[in-house]
Amino acid sequence: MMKKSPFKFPFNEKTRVTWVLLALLVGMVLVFSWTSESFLSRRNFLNIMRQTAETGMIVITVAFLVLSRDIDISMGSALGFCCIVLGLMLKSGVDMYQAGFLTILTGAVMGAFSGFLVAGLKLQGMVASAGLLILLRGLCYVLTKGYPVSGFSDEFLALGRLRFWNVLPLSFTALIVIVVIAHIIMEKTNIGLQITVLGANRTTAKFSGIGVDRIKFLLFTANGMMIGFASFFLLSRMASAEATTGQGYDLDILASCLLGGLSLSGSKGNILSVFLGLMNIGIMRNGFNQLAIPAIYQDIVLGVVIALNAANWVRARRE
Amino acid sequence: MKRKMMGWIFVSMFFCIVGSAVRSEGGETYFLCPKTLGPVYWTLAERGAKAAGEELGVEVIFNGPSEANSSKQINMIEDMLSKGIQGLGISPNDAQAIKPLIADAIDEGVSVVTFDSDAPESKRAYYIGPASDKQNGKDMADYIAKKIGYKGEIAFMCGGLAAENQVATMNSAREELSKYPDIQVVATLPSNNDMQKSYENATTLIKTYPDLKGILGFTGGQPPAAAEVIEQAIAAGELKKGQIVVTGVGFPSNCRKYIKNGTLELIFSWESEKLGYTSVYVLNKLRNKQPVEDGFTLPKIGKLNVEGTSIWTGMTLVTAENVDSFDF
Repeated sequence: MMKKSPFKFPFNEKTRVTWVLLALLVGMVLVFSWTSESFLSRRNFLNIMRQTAETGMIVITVAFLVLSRDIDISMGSALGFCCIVLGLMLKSGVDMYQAGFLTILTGAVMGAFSGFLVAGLKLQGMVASAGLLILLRGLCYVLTKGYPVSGFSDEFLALGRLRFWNVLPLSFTALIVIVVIAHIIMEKTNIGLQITVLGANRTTAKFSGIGVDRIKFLLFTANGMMIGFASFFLLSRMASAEATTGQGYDLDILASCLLGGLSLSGSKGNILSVFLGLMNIGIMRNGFNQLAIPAIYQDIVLGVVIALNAANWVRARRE
Repeated sequence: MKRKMMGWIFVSMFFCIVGSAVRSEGGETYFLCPKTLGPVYWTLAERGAKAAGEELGVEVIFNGPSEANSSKQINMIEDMLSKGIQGLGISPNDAQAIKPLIADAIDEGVSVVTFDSDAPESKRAYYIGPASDKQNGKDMADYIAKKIGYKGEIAFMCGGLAAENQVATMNSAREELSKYPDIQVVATLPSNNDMQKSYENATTLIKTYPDLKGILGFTGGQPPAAAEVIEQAIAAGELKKGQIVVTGVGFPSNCRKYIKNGTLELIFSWESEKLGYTSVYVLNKLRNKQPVEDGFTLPKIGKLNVEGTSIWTGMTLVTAENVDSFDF
């Protein structure tokens, strides 16, 4: 059944990843609710939602990058940097919404810088962001001098705990809105189509009159802005930013993308699956934590799950 | 077909892992969360905690993030709190970030202590550590003063001048040494936690102060670095054996060689095993509303010092006689 152009996917194949992930999700919920009495409690779901929300937002914009056949690996450092910038602004008495806006702006500048390296100087995303990864982490140490930044107003900290109807955290609500918008952009708009074409074949995209560099620049900038946005929630929840904040998040974020069926060679996958991939990892971590499985084994299992699924997705595409 | 098989392998593996982790319920559960898992320091703390759990008949879960990361540590503790635990021991990666979580846990009736690293401004009931900075500085100063005959030049080697606990320890040592008018502290060299820099510092000290009598190291890396440099200087004929006394904070693993050949006579160390062990006992006391008084005793450790809300398990003096009995 595999005589397809890269522009169109047979309906069933495209949705299969989503179904498998959904089944995995339901399966895990069943297993964990059996192994731990408190798994299905409202409080535990609050945990899962709050813990996945911040990284989840970044996962979505990174998914756009991956769909356009590019990659960013500096998210962890950028997130830490934004948290520290935001923290320092709050400490110096800047109003929290102004500080939030300025942090998003900071993120946008960082993203635009990567975008410029990729679109303007034709560096690969990996190369550009590897540089940024190290540079921003260095800046984190310079800005904090190794001391954690903390001591924020209760008003700011309350945002991290705010929830609607006592079940839906503000951060997770924001994530849902972002997922819906991202899904619509990818599936229904011209930009989504252009990203897919770009991810499938850059040359084709260029000759079809798509502004390749413009799209890349926009995607990197959007990613930076989202990191700034996410840092607002992360800092509010953590109440403290240190030089190592966000370390390791880059790989967690890419793992969600890969489990969500994205291919690093671009164009394949959809936002909904990526969201399910994210939730799968979040629930798996939570369930494993509750079972007190040592974190090291958790990482091993997670790695195996991602590798198996990625292999599965690749096979599915070839069949 | 292969795809299906892979799916089955995955599913069965998943169940095996989950199944093997299911435990029997009953009794109280304490959760101890170290900075990270992996280093032997924490493995030994786990051994101590588990031993205490067995003696007391409580379940002890010892689990930490795979890297020393504050947000991952907090996620993990949140997940355990929602599972339902009665006691919580934390070695916080970030003393500030952990504060609200400790307050939440206490509101829910969970007993909370910190061990190895403290969160002093939090609501935790007790902090369990090896020794107060003051006491440790005083003990080390006393030892080296006696060793050099209460007379001569001493140099300090430390990890960093910004680390609060080291500064406190050094101040206490300085205060103690100031009791002896014939002893001068001639230099304090920070290595910025860089082993190479420690070697350079020791070399500088030997070259700059030909009459140097003693070197006191304030982090685990300093005494072995000083010992190595001194051994090389002795081999090159620049120093006489025993001319400079070296001591300070150290660990058997990196000092064993120098202790055995006599360059280091004694180092001040502590056992993470005792920290884990004591934490579980203190949690149990808190749960049973037993008082925690200065001088209370524990089966494997003996007497403990309580100072305010800090509990000291004591430093371990490591010499040639006992160095091989430690597996850290």
